[in-house]
Amino acid sequence: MAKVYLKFPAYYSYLEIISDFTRKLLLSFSFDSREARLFSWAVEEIITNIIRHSYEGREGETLEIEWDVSSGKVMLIFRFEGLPVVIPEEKFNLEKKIREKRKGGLGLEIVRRACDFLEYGREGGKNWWRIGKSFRS
Amino acid sequence: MDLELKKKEESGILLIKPVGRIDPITVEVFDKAIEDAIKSGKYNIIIDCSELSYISSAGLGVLIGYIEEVREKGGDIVICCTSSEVYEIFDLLGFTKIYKFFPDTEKARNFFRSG
Repeated sequence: MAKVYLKFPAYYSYLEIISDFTRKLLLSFSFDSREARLFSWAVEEIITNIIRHSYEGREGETLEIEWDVSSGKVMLIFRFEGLPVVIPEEKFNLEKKIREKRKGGLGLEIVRRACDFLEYGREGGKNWWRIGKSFRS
Repeated sequence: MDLELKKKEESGILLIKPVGRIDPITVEVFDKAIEDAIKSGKYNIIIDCSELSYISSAGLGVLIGYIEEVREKGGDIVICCTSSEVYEIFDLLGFTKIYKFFPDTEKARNFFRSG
């Protein structure tokens, strides 16, 4: 079991470091390398989404991440302030996006497909994402 | 990590080779390269991913933004030489069903030559 907590100013330049840490942590818990890689991409996309949308592109705002690898699964919680997250209700359709030249929504779809569960909530002006995946080693 | 873009044009086919990561920091460089190509009338574009280590949703969005325009003008944006890791990203969202992927640059060039 491993629990890691990090509170830091969110910069795009940290994406690769956080993603790499996540991937290596999962590999150390016998995650399949493909699943570890997919999950770490999801982490990059969540952080990107937080900076771009909730913090309106402002880097350096506070982000807290909690990694919890236990009971056969990994769970990450992201806590951040800023604007509430707007989750697209429309089902993802790549062909439609191409026809309409709409670039948005790709990041969250990567997260959806790379994780077993994805939850968003907002309490007392703070947002949180919770993402998780079960072991398939 | 920075992104370097290598470009090579031969017989009306433009090869763009991103070296490094395409992420929220570097995506503008990639976007501008494709935009500039289209503006100068180059519609046969190969993205050589042999030295691409990662492409984020922002980079995938660039491909979404230009593919229709290029195809309307009789060209295409095709992708070649992806590592299995980068191919997984494309595959995860279904890009591999809509875009043409080739194992090497020669096969990608032949696609345009025969087209």
